[in-house]
Order: sequence, then structure tokens, then C-alpha cells
Amino acid sequence: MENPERPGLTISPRIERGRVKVLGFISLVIFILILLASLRGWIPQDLLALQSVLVLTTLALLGVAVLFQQSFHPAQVLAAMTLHPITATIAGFLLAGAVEAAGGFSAAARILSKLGKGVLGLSGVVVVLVNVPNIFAMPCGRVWAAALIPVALAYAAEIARIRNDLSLVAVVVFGLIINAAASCGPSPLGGIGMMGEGMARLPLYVFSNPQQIAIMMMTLFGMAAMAWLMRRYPVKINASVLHRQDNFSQQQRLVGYFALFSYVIGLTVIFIVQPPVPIQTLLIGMTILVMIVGKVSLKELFRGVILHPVTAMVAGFMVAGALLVTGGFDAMTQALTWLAIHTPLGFTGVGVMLIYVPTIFPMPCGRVLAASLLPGVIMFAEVVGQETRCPQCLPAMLIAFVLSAAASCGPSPLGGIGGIGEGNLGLPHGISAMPMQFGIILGVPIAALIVTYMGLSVEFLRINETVLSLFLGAVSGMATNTLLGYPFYQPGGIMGGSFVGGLLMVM
Amino acid sequence: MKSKIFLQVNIFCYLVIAAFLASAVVTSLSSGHPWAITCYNCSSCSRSCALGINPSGFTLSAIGNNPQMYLAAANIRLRLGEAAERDPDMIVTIRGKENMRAGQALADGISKDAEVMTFRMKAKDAAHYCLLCAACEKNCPVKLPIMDIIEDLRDDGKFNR
Amino acid sequence: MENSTVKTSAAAFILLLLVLVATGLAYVLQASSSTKFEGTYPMVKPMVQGAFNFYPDRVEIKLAEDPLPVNRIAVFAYDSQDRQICILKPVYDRTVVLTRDNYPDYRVHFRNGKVDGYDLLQGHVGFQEKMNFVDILNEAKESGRRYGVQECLYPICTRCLDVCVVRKFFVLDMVVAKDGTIYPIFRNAGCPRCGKCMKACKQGVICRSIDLPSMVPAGTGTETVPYKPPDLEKALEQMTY
Repeated sequence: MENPERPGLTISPRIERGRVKVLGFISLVIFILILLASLRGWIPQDLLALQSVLVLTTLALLGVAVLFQQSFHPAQVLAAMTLHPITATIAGFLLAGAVEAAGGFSAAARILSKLGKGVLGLSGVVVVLVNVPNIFAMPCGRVWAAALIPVALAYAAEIARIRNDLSLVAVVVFGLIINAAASCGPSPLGGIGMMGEGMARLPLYVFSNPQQIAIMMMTLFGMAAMAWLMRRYPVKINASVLHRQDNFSQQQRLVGYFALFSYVIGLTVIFIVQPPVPIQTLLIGMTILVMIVGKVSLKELFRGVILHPVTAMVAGFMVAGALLVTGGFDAMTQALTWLAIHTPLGFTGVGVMLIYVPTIFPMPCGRVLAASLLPGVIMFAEVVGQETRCPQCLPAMLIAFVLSAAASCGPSPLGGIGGIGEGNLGLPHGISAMPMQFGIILGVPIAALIVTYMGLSVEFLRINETVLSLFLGAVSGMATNTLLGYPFYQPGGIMGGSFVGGLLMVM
Repeated sequence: MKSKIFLQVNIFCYLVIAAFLASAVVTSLSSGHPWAITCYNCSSCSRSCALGINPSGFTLSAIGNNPQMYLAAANIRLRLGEAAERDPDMIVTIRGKENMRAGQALADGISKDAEVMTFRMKAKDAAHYCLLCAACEKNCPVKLPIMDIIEDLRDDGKFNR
Repeated sequence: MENSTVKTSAAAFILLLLVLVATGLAYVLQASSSTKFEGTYPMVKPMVQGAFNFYPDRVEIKLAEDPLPVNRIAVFAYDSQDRQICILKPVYDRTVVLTRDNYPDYRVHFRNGKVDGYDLLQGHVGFQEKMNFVDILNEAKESGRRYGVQECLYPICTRCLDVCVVRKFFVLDMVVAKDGTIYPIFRNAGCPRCGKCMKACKQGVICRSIDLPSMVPAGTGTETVPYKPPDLEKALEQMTY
């Protein structure tokens, strides 16, 4: 259908919805108001937990639907829920709990400490550590975050002692968190990137490499922003977390090493082989193995499970289901289309806004907005492609949106991974959001640029991508050297960064 | 007193969350396809469907035990009368220009013999029109038996397993 | 010594018995009760024939019979690069109508006379190539290129090939006929008659030979004879027995 205001511009009618639904707009407004109230702290968390806010919002939206005589089946609210990240998170927490109880992460801290004294140095190890979730991308970043945050804390504490700079703890921990948050984008085990590839009918895993390179840079930008924030506005970190007890006997240490290697090798093998078995099953199997070898009791196991992010994710999905029922997402797409046609922003400007909607309204899981808004993104990308005559417009905008959605669970004040770091470090709630969002805003366009100028390919070790990855890895290493107070040319950091860049292309 | 009320509200909300999660397990068991909860929702299956159906909608309908759930199905050609008879709320594209409900299109005077293209339809209707080529199953990263759901729904539109 | 020999023999006998029992149990339990041993070679149903009528604004195709069982058929035409462009159309009253707002659904590539892959041309969120199928058909007709209808959905559907237990010996293979249709052929010599391909084919293209429709009208008093398309006859001649 030709747009009368823009002759020659064809908007596919297949995406245009029917008449404007008032109910959809009302539910959208309610949702945005609740989100703002949570972001601003107008709803005190000590009285009403955010999960309660989200559940009450769901009930309110469904009540509004009943008032408008909108018929719906309760199962439609279930339709918005993606069980995959929830069950992957729980399984990941169980495994991390088992490995922690067996002393695996204390073993990891010891190994990192030894590595830091070697060729890579402190900065090289930091670059590798914070990029582990990106290299072995899991369908939910919390699988790695749960395991590596204690390790990162222990190692960062050591760095802080050596460099005499407490803010480095936050820099390293939140670098890991933003990396873990975004890592569900390129994951070949049901990541958000696969949703985008599937909906746009692109070949499998074409989004993986550009996303991984962009996440490496996103991590760097996030760490730099965090460093600036911590130095400009010094915040007291809970010093008790810096003193980690390591009273394990020799026998216990051996068990700890075994648990750690089972964990790392197990996840690596799953990642490489990608067996046609749900990853949750494999994680539970590994948990049982570690429990048997490490003689871990059930009580110790459940200590590793953090219910808060899981319940926040479920509550977030409930709200998404209610918005689906009331047509809130359709209203959002209609509103954006109206803005595109009637304002100077145009489709290009609104398309950019749409890409960053998950970052502006960060939910506890990026899939909540990804699944709902992907059709709208594809529609916008087609129109922008016509306006700009750029053949790569669709995949470029799609990958940017996917990465923005994937990373958005990091800065989310509604149970995002950043909250875990803030809690561990005793930082004020919400302080890590801005640096992470800064990292996301700068990192997302890198993926789009790679797709635009290098195209899409599943070729193994494509020359241009590999060179770029190695180069940016080295840059990342140099920047990490600087962040840790070393000269930028320190070889350890550069080697670590290049190693990460190479691994990203191999994995 | 005030904080006690809020505490009770919080507990109630958490119980609702637990019940919501549990309901997914219960309904998927009731549908006879409990393996549907292992779906990754990655849409890899939709990559290969020549009829433009998003087969993950079938797994979602099995999770919710709701064959009336709407899923995207953007490439099935059929007559408007047939579409409206199957489901007046089926969203169809008329003459490649406009999306509307099949019932609404008939009421607006469009001929029942006019060929339309589906846009969104119920899972049970999509199962009826599915070509049963199993291309979706081949693309699934965890090899879920999606055809089991489609064949279950095909005859009478209900989960009978 | 004697006692130990007896004991060893007894142990060996019991072990052998256990192995036989276990093997028997495994055989009985693993055999699927739903898979019927058809005991007959698979045959390919005669391809439905269609008469094309070209009009200025549309193309109508009259079919000789109703396609089974999904009432949907693939209409194809070859383009200048010898690729098969297809559209999936519903059949009403044995008639298929193509209009100028019909766009193709998929495109099949060939290499050395064999199918080499396909592209889906219709996305399900408005992502499509703008190629009008009526124009493609008209162009094919004017250029003398092949066009027609077919029920087999290969390479979209590969169910028969996926279930064939002797696939690696090419007992079941896909051929492209002279008229451009793609359909399966069988090399009966290697076929174990497991019946899986018949069960897997939901389009009804592969069936039991006794289920094939007769070309002789009913009630004429003559014996029913299964029909084989001429190309299939020729392909069968080249098979070894």
C-alpha cells in the first residue's frame, strides 16, 4: 500500500493492524506509568516488591480488558511466557550452587590469581574473565553470571588491593555483568539472535559473530563508564565482600578443582557439540555429577538458587502476556508508525528509537519485548530499507534490536542482573544502570555496522571478521590496561584481548 | 498494620507467580504434550515453513492446552467464505492491501469466493492447513516432535493424546 | 578340577541363556506395534494433470482429479535460469485460479539434473520478492519453458527420504521429469518393503501399488490395471534387479 504522504514509499499492509484499539493504548499507558514509578522509586520497594508491582499490574490490565469486554482465554497470558530462560536460569543456579558448595569457585579464584602473575598479567586475565559469557554464550546470561560473579568479586578484590583502587571491583564485576547480560543474544542454544534469524528467515547463526564482537566492545564501554562513575561519584563498596575465606583443606581443594573443571569443560563441550537435548537437562545432569563427587547436600545446593531474578522474570512475562491480550504491543507499533509518518523523525528516526526501546524500558528478560516487537522491527526495517536503498537494512536493524534486547536485562531495575552485582557490592539500587545503558548504546551500532559493511555469513573464520575481532580484542586489551592503571601498551592486556577476539571467532 | 497488609499482598503476589509457573506445567501435561515446555522459542522452526506458519505457536498452544490460540500464519491462500466459516475472527489480507477479520470482510460485502491470504489464525486451523512436510521439526535445535501436536489437532481441533 | 569345569560350563550356559532372553526381549520390545509390514513395494501415484487456460488477467488450471489429501497443489514454471518457481494454491472444484496479486512461494535450484536446494520467497511478516506468478507463467509459455502442476512437495518436504532406511543406497530417489515435475522413484531391488515411506508421505504421492487408481473406467468389465507415467516406465527400465 502506497503511503499518500510519501509517494513511492510502500508500507507492507501485512503488518498494518486494523482500527486503533483504545484498550491497547490505555494498557500501554498503564504499563509505562508503572515502569516509570519503579524506575523513579516512587513505589517503595520495601513496601511493595517489584514482583508484586508487576503482578498487580497484570491483574489491573486484565481487569481493564474485562471492563472493555475484551474476551480472552487465561492461556493467552501464558503465550507470552518463554519458559526457556527461566528454566535455564534455575538449572544454571543449581549447577553454580553445587560447584560453589564443592569449592569450585574458590579454586577458580586461586587459578586466576596464579594466571595474573603470569604472561597475561592482571589486565589480560580481566579481559578474558569478563568475556567468558560472551565466548561460551548460554541462552540466559544468568547461568554464567551466577557462577562467575563470586569469582569476579574475589579476583577484583585482589586487583583492588594490588592497585589500591576500590572502584576497580565495581569495574570488573559490572563488566562481567553487562557481558553476561548481552551473551544470550549470540547463544546458539536458543538465544534471542536465533529468534531474529527465524522470524526474518535468515540462515542459522548468521547473527552470532557480529553480536559477539559488539558485546566485547559493549563490555569495554560499560567498564569505562563504570570507572568514570565510581571515580566521579565515589560510592562506598561493602568491604566485607573483599575478604573471601579460603579455609579448604588439600582434599577439599582437589574436589573443588574437579568441580570447577567439570563445570567449565561441561559447558564448553555443550557449547561446541550442541546436542539435540535441552540444555536444562544437561545442566541438571552436571549438577548431579558435581553433587556426587563433591558430596554436596541438597541444602547446600539450594543456597545457590536466587529466587529474585527468576520471580522477576516470570512477573515480567505475566505483564507481557497481559499486554498481548489487551493489544498494548500493537498499540506501541501503531504509535511508532504514526510518529514515523507524521513527524520529521520519519521511519529512520523512529526505527532507531524502536531499536533502543528495550534499553529505554529494560525488562528483567529481553525476550519479553523481543518476541513482541520483532514483527514491528522487521516492518520498520523494510520501509527504512526502501527509503535508504540499503540492501542490508533489514538484517542490520534486526541485529541491533536483538542485541539491545539481549543486553537490556543488565540495567533493568526490575530484577536485572545488575541488581545482583549491586547487592553483592552493597551499592545503591540502580546505580549501575546508566553505565550499562551507555555501553549498550555505543556497542549496539557496532553489530549493525559489521552487518552493513561485511554482510552476513556463516563461514568459519571469515577473514575480515576475524581480523576485526582480533584488532578490537587488542583495543579492548589496551583499554583494560588503562582502566586498571597500567600503560596501554602492557603486553598482557593486549594478548588477553587478542586471545578473546580469536576465541570469539572460533567458538 | 500498614506494613502487615503490604506483606500479605507481597506473599499473595509471589503465590500468584508460583501458581502461574505451575500452571504452565499442569496445562502442558493436560494437553498430552508435556515436552512442549522444553521449547526454546527460538523461531528456528518458522524459518522453513512454506506456508508462513510460525510452528512455535503450536508448542505454545500445547503449553497452554489451548488450541484456540492465535499464531502467525502469513501465506495460506483460501477463499474468504471458508476462512469466515472456520473462524470469523481469523485475520486475513484482502487483495494484498489490507488486514481485517474474515467475518468483517464478509460483512463489508467482499465476495465469499474471493481468495484471501491468512495473517493470523488459530492453532487448530493452522494444523488443518499444514502441509505436514515436517520441515519445522528438522530445523528445531532440540528436535521437538512438533508434528505430533499438528497431527493431534488436525482432525477435531482438540488435544486428544 | 572336574567340579570347577562343571561349574564353569554351567555358568557359561546360564550366561548364554540370559543373553538370548535379553536379545529376545529387546527384539520384542523395540519393534513398534504401529509400523505395519506392508509387504508390498511402494508405488508413485499418477501425477495429476492440469489443463492451463491463459486469460489477460488470470490463469485457470482445470485438474483431471482432486489432489489428495490436503486439497492444495504446487503450480510451477521454470525461469530463464532453469530454476523451478512454485506457488502453493488451493483447489476448489478441481480448479486453480492464479491472479496478478499471486506471488511465488519458493524457488528450486538444480545442479546436474538434480535438486540442489531451495529458497523460500514468502516471509511471514511481509518480507517478499515482488515477482508476479501470472507473468512468470506467461513468460514461460512464450519462451517454451516448462510449466505445470505437481503434488510432490520436494524439496520442501523430504519425509520419505528422511524415513527411508536404505536411503544411502539411493533406493528412493527424486527425479526431475521432462515436463519439469519432481517426483520420487524406487529401485525395488534394494527396497525392504518396510512401508515407512508410504506412511510418511502425507501428500499421498507414495502409496501401495494396490491403492493406485485405475485408468480404466469402472463398470466396463475389464480388469483394473495400475497406471505408470511414461517417464517412470523409462526410469524403471534402467534399474537393476
